[in-house]
Amino acid sequence: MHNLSLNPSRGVTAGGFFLEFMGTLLLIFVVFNVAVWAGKPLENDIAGSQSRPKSLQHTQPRLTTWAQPRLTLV
Amino acid sequence: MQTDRIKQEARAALAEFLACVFFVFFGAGSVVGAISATSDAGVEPVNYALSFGFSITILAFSIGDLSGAHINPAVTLSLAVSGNLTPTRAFMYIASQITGGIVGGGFLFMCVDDDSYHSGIGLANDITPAGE
Repeated sequence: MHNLSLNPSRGVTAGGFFLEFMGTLLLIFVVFNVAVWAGKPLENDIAGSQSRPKSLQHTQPRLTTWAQPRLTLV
Repeated sequence: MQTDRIKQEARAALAEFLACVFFVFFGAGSVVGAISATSDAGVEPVNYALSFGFSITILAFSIGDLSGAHINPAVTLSLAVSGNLTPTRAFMYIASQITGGIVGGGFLFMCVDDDSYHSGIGLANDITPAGE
């Protein structure tokens, strides 16, 4: 196996540089995507209730069962 | 609306492609590296299991929001058969996953020499001497 550039005593090779490149690429990929994911508001949270999908913005939000107003006949 | 949907599916397929590239590269690469580093001594199978497990975990956290993080054509096929995935999206996912796996293996082949690349998984050297 080509030597990693993390271990310079074993020499630096093109394969080692490519391994470093792929590792850095993975790090950026993971950090960026997790940051985007974590930056989105929660779907079931009050803070995320303002960001409804555009396809549903013309409709009224559906109330859950426990929130339905109950009619009582007197 | 149609453009947004196509853009979203293309983004998801690209995420699956990159995830498969990373999964194959680092999963199989960890096996190759472990065997190369330990020479004749055996490598505990739990090392392979942990490397693949950590790989799939961080990739699932990375692209789970984009595509659902299938990273496996079998998962995509099962979701398509069960009706939870449109055929178009399933086809794009599977094509991306297969292509990503091949590209990841190619990248790994570029990084390591032939002996390491053909070392097999190391668990059964006498049974499956790959490349010989």
